[in-house]
Amino acid sequence: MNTRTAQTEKKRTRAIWASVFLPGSGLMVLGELRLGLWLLGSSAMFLAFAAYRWGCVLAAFASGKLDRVVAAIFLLLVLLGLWAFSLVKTLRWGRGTGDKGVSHWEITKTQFRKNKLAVVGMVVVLALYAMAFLGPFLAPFDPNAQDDIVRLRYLPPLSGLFSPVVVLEGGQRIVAQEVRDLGDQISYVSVGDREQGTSPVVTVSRDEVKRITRTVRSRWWNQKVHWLGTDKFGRDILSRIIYGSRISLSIGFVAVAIAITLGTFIGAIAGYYGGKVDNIIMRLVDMVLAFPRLFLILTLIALFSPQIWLIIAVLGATGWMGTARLIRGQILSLKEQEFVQAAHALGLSTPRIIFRHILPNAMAPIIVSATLRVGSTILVAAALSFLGLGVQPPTASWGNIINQGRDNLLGAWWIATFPGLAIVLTVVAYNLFGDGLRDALDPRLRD
Amino acid sequence: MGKLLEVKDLKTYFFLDEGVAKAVDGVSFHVDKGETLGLVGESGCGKSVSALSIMRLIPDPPGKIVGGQIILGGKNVLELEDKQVRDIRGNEVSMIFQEPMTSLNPVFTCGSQIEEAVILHQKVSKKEARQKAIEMLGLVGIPAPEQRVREYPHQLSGGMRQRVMIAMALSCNPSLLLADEPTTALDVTIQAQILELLERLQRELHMAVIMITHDLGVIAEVASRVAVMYAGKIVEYAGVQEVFNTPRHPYTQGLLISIPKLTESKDRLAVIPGMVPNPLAFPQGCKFHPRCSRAIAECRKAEPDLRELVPDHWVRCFRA
Repeated sequence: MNTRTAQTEKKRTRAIWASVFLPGSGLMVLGELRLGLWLLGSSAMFLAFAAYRWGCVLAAFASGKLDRVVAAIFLLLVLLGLWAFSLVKTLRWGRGTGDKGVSHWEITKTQFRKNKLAVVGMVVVLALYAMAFLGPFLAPFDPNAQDDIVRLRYLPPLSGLFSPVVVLEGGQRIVAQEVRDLGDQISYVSVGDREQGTSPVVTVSRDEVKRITRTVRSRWWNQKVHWLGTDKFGRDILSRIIYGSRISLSIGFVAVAIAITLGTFIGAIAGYYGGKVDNIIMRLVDMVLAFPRLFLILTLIALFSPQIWLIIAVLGATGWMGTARLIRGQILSLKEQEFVQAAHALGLSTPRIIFRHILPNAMAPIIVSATLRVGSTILVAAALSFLGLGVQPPTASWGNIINQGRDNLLGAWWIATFPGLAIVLTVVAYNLFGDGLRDALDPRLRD
Repeated sequence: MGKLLEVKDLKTYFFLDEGVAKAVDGVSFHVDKGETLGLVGESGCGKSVSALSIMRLIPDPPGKIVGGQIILGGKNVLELEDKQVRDIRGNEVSMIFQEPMTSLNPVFTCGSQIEEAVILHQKVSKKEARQKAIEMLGLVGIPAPEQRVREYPHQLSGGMRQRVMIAMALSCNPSLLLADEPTTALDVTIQAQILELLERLQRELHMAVIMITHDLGVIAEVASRVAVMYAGKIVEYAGVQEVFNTPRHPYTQGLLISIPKLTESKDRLAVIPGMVPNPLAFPQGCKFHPRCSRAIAECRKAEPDLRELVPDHWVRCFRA
């Protein structure tokens, strides 16, 4: 008995040290293979990325550009979070079960894990958000740069860049990323890391150029490949999709957050008070629902200028009705439950009963409708961009990349296809995630 | 003993589309400090509505207290502001409900539900409230209360949940407890335990109880006085011994006869013929006359008053 406890103690100490140095490895030592592998895998991925782009991370803080700083902070926070999570899990191993009991949360987690597709959906959603946050470090090109249109426009996917190697009279070699014709002078932007600001421009007169050879920069890890091709202005599609994900995903998230909050609040009031209040509110909902949504949004946006906050606000303000109906129905049945009467009998105030006692019981449908709604909201936002009333160019959003690809759909299919796939991927992932959540949260579907 | 609660001529009506349902129609009774009053009757006779009226928990609309007085500790509850009523609820007067399965909020732990009332009424810190919750759970006989406070209602059995409900109701030391069929949903052995617990707590905390039930066995066990209700009115009101030994109203007599006795062997149980009248269309005259074997012509015309036949024994019947 004693040796056994000593052994577990030893094992635990080893695991803790392992977790300190390699997130997740401690859990693998303790036998939690799956979780350990997950943590190890994801932290290895993020670590590799951080190491690869370490220069950018440092430069981000120095540059003070908001999106870069956010990306750098996100990267560091994710790494720190993974490390801390694995350490806490390791420290708590073998403890905490038994006396705490099985909460709803625990049951939901195990149920959710059983649904493999939903887990895949969740991972994809998380990966997409990570991509959006890390955009500036991930994107191989500046999404808005339009240098050298003639050379770069309509490049098909997987085009490597041909960079001319310029040999000057003095023997200096410049691997030129960009050539600018200035009349009797030519300036070469040499290949360097644009993000770090180390791309010296050399301007020489035409006489100084001795020889130009073209070279193919074909190494696959070399960033200067247009993986998904370029558009008619020579802008890199992949970079635009990555930058566009920030717009599309944040519109989806924030607009749904607004819509759900509004809908929940209004639905709760209508459902709880019932009678006249309910009637007035629900007829109002019917009225708003009777408008074609897209038309309503177009009108509202056309009245003002299409700015991102306005689009978010309008999408939020036109998306709450479904949730309001759903929540009203939930509250109508929940308020008849005896625990509500019991709460009244304890002397609690009405707002407290509605928002603290009844609403948490309706949390499952709220969460599910939120996740399912994100997909459709992203679609509407993309539709708006496609119609030209969304986020305005040159800012990239998935919708307006598709819009730009429309001109040459047969000649340059890749422009509209890839952002379209990104939308499909996001919407499907969100729906799978939402479906899984619903199944996990609904006690009636439990076995 | 001083009167803790006095209900005078209480009238609670429900205004429905089909008409006015007089669920409670002129009910008067009182409760002394520390005693137990039994409210007995069939389903729909107005006993629960009377209790909810005392707490002012009648859903409005469609319900409304249209008349009468409810005097609790010298104040008329019906004239108080909402805020003052909330201060009374759960503090001076508490209530426990029939269904322990649904009376606890499934998303909170037992402890946090008890703590909420304590924090609200006694203005103590979270830590002290947790201490109080553990103490209360111990008091109602829940083993290992330190662990149970952290458990969710679905992890407890029906009897345990009813104990938690009682702990919640008693956490602020109320002077009056309204127990609305607290044992109906429990099986018989648990029933006995819960009743015993209530009696013990009543003694320890010097609290008055209104025990609402349709089970005369429960009344015989715990109550000192009984009010028998029928169709929104009290038909017999007396000490528990009086009611059981010399019931005077035919309805009470019928209720007592219909209890099966172990000492006699009978093929069929005695029943009161007929149904509880529809509250939207009560019969003319005495509301019990269609089901009464001793009804006379007068019973169909006029409704009898509650008369004091013997000191402290009130009956609403011409024939008594």
